[in-house]
Amino acid sequence: MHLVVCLKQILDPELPPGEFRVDAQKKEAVRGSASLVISVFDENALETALQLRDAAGQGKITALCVGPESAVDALRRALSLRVDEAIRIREEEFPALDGFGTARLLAAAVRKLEPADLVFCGREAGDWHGAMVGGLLAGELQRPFVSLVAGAQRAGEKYALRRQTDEGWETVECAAPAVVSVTNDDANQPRIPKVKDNMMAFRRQIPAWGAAELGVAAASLAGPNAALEFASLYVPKSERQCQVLGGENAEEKAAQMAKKLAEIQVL
Amino acid sequence: MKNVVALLIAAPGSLRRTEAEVLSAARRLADGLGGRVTAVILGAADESWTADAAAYGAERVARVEHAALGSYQAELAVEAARQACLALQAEVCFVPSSTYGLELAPVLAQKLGAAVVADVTAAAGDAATGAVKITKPVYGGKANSELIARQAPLVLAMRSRAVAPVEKKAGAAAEVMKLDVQLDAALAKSTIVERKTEAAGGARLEDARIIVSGGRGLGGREGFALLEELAGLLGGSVGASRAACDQGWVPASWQIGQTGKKVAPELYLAVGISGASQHLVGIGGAKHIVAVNKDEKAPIFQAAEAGVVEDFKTFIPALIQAVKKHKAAEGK
Amino acid sequence: MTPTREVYFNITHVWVMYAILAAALAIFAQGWYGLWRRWRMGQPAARTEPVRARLLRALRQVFSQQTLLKRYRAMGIFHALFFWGFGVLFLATTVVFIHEDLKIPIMRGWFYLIFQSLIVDLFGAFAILGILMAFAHRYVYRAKRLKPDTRDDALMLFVILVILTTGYVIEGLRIELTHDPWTAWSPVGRAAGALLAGALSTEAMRGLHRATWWFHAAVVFGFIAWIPYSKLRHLFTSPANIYFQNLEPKGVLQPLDMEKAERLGVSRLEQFTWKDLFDLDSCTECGRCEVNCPAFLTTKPLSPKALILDLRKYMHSMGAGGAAEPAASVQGEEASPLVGPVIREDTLWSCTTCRACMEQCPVMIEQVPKIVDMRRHLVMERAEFPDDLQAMVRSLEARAHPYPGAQASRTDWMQGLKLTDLAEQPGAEFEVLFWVGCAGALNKRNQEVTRALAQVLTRAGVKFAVLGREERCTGDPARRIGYEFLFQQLAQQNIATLDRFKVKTVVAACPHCFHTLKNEYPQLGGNYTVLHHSEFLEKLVAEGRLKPAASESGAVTYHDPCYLGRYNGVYDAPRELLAAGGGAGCAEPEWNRGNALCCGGGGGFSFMEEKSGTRMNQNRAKQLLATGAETVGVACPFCMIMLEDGVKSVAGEKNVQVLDIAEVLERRTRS
Ligand SMILES: Cc1cc2nc3c(=O)[nH]c(=O)nc-3n(C[C@H](O)[C@H](O)[C@H](O)COP(=O)(O)OP(=O)(O)OC[C@H]3O[C@@H](n4cnc5c(N)ncnc54)[C@H](O)[C@@H]3O)c2cc1C
Ligand code: SF4
Ligand code: SF4
Repeated sequence: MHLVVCLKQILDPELPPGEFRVDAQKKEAVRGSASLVISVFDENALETALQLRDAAGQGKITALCVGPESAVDALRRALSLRVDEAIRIREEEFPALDGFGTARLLAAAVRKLEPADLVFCGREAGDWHGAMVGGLLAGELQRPFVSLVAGAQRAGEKYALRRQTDEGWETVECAAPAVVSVTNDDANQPRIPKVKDNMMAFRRQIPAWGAAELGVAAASLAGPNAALEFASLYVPKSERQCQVLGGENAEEKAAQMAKKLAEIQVL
Repeated sequence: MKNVVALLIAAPGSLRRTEAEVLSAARRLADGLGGRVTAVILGAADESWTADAAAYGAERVARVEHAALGSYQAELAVEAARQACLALQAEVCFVPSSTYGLELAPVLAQKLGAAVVADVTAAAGDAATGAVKITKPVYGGKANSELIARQAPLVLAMRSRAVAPVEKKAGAAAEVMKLDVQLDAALAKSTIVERKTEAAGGARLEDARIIVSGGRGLGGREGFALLEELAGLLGGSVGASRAACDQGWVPASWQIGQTGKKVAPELYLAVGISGASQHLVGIGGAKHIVAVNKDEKAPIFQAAEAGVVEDFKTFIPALIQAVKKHKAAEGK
Repeated sequence: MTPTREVYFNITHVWVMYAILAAALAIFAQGWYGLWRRWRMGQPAARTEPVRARLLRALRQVFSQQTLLKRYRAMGIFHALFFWGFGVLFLATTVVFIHEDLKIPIMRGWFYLIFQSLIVDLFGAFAILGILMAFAHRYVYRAKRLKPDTRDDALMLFVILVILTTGYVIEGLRIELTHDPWTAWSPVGRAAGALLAGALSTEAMRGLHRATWWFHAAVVFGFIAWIPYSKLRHLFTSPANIYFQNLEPKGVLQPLDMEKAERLGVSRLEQFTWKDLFDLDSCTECGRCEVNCPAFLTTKPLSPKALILDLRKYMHSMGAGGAAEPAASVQGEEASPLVGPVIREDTLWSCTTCRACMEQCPVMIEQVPKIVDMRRHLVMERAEFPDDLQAMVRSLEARAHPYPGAQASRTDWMQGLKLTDLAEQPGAEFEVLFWVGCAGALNKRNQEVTRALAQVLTRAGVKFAVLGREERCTGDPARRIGYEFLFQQLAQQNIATLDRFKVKTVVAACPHCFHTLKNEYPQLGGNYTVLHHSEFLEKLVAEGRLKPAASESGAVTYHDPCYLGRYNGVYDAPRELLAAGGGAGCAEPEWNRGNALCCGGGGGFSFMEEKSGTRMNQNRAKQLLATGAETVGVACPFCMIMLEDGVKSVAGEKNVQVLDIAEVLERRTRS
């Protein structure tokens, strides 16, 4: 059993609103002194894969990350959680990547790593919330795609994937190879590495694959989204002013509140 | 771009808010573009969906009914959607942000060679240029991004509860058609072997769209009975502060905060909760926070966008009445 | 005639006594040898030098019985009576030995009369009094901390009583039979003799004297042989343990060498140091540690006494060589026969590291380092911790603060204040660095304290700076939960920052930061003059740079934070601040200073739900409210959070506010 987990390193999503700034020119968030972390759902994806391997008692896990030099930290974290291999894809060689391009790069890497039974992605990245890479990757690889999975188990030759739906839960059975996107759940909260593994991970070399290794030319990565114009990025004005709903008595205040609830479309 | 499709995935019962939102988004965009909306209903949905789709502004309703589309299956749904989009020459295709919608959208886009954007909160059309301006919050809602699409095709997944449905015009007429698709059951690579609906009594707090939450100020179980009534009316769930759980008024699994659940509802209504930072930590993701507290200096008011200074014992029953009145007026 | 007495009056076949004595001593030695071999299993620890300093300190502490008299005075007095009684009797026996066996005639003259007769006679009586008090305490008042009673406890007290009373019987009979002319010097013995003489014939007295003498001797020797096998061993181990005490600043945890350490923490008994193992045999089972333990008091699965006794029982079950161990019940690569099977995980996770147990323990047993050592194993080797702590650790790793989901930034509290923020103005001049701490920066309530403190410092004209975004968690929460690796990472980063800004003096607003910066950073090469804000503010008041007005509000009580009081001995500065300028002053809660009860916020508990038992903060709040005070003064952000919640829960209708001493001072220095 070979599992591949795709990780993205992002700007700390818990950065308090007061410290968050965007660069309107570059159209990206200003990093400042904020940390870089593994995108939360990718951590759930990694945990889901680790649990699947734990339960099976065997199997290999490879972590993939399309990212700049700093992304080795994310991969190192994955190594400290005992994935077997960690590979960085050199984002610097592929400027202006979008979801399609990322999916194509990942697909090229997965092909190089074949056989790969299940490929795990987070349901969406915690910065741009694209939510498309998993599905696009499945399409590239021509494999079935299962979304919002929170737990995976072997079921004979197949895999039983427990996933969230709008109404509750369902179990999807699917044969390998397949691609799944993972959502968060009590059951797949990321674990913390043992210190020994942490220190071992520091000594590991992390290979970086670029255009040459993957046999992919940067120019071939543009997908349909390249036609979209990224017009602007801005911080919406927040009116964290508490509006006191007044009134002579409880009834009047209640009427005000009902109006407010209708305004914010929950009523 | 003029040809807008609202893709609806059949579900038991009548048309729900999720579908209404997809139809509304399509309608608004088509209005901007001077185009028209075709509702595509994938699978065997209730007959009433046709009329409802028309009522939400679809000029054309295409029903895709095939033996293989009995209940949702990913590969078959994608293939059916692909053929429908091609047949209808769809330029913009809206899908819901449900589990199935998010599963289908990227694969469909890829097959159609379409640009795709998910978690969209607004899509506005410009009739002159035919361009579509897409608004999508990023960085956990701390920023908004705007994208402009000038080329078809385009697949858009709307964020749920982001737009209000358009006004429903009962009895509106639409062209109704049956759309034939060629499906090979062998395409299906996965099977749904078990479906479970989460126990009644409100959604899981983490998923709840509306949460009415109570604290020490409620003074006992009776207070929570009032909140449950209110939550029932609003279609929400009930949560609590630690103080209330500690008192044993409600189960510990209702606790929200640093050491409890973290929630991200549309509405968080905090009643008799002071707003200790440990509690606020759990509701950072809430879109709208509204508070009821008898102490005007309670820190919860600094986190809330609206608030009422009043004793909950008189206020909540009054609010329940007001909500009932509002609903009655709307139902008319 | 020179005053003295015949040692073996009325006794023949004295050699029999020597034979029994030899046997008793052999058993005694055998027992100690077994114990010694167990202690030797432990790891090295530098606890024997410097000899002179240790000896002097230990002698002073042992002979003054100081810890015992601190709390439970009655019991302390009993122990002192007992201790001195036994001590004197032991000396007397030595005198007999020198006089009779070494043939150096010292047992005569005034020495005989005053020491060997009068003092011995009186101290023996003191010892009996002590024993009777002990009996009463244990069986009449049924002191909880002495539970569970064992048969051994009863037998021990009884045997001692028998030894002491038979001693007087022998003494009395000898006085009567020899018509001792110096009976005035042995009042108790004489009384005993007079009592018996009234009832018995001379012959009967002779017989009884001989029988009692042999009986007494047999019991005494049996008692000696029994010492290493029962808690009586503490007669020897306790003073020795006090000699081996930790001479470093209180509460400092030993660093691990992350690169070289083969194991992280303790998962097997023999991984403790020999001193840790010696601790186990020094415990007197007095239960003083337990009575002050906030976890035990709220029925959590932890008692510092039970912890020590469980470890001891386990050690004794191991066989003298320590080789044979009971089969491990935890499987896998990090199997531990100790953590889990002997000491449960939830026991380890119940400790707030408040040090109350160590402060109370009369024989200086060190519970906290043992708990942390076992936590280190759990956290670093097994990566197992309670869920709440996982969230905290992940936040520390990613954001260098322990508040997952914090909406505030480290600089939010500064809004509207003119401050020197080194992160923004790296070259700015300053004299002292104000270390804000994560709670002070990120917790809403404590932000107010931080602002108040900054305002007071400004008023006093102090040239201070803050680190702003450059400040990281000191690593205290990581270290206390056993995550030494993370602690060292954070500490090293902070030390680099502090050194980069050439910081010399630090004023910390959090006792946890204060303790860590002051006493633990030197381990990693960070040396600064570190003051808690209470010390610094008190200095400013003393120098007249701050002139607080008299208090206008009602009575104030003060809660001693563990890491300020017990850890660092800062008790007076905050009290003086509360009293400065006159006014109501400080109403002491019943448990105060070294005896103060922990609020329940240390050792990671500020980030953890109390999973079982009642709430620690409410317990303490009750004690504070019992003073009738309207204001509870605190000096620690964790105490603030804990006690504000606790006071609200138990105050009922009463309006009691919790204020940091910095806030109190800020209010009193507004012009
Ligand atoms: C380590 C730790 C972890 C914690 N984790 C959490 C957590 O996960 N979740 C959590 O919630 N708390 C948590 N807390 C507790 C937190 O600090 C607060 O104590 C708690 O949230 C207070 O709950 P409350 O607001 O219900 O009660 P209070 O603070 O007592 O507030 C009650 C409020 O009710 C109002 N009120 C009273 N009567 C009425 C009335 N008749 N009508 C209207 N309003 C009224 C009062 O004005 C007051 O504002 C934690 C604390 C610690 C120390
Ligand atoms: S440090 Fe405090 S909580 Fe821990 S065992 Fe000792 S007294 Fe109990
Ligand atoms: S550890 Fe110390 S305080 Fe506790 S029972 Fe033993 S001797 Fe007494």
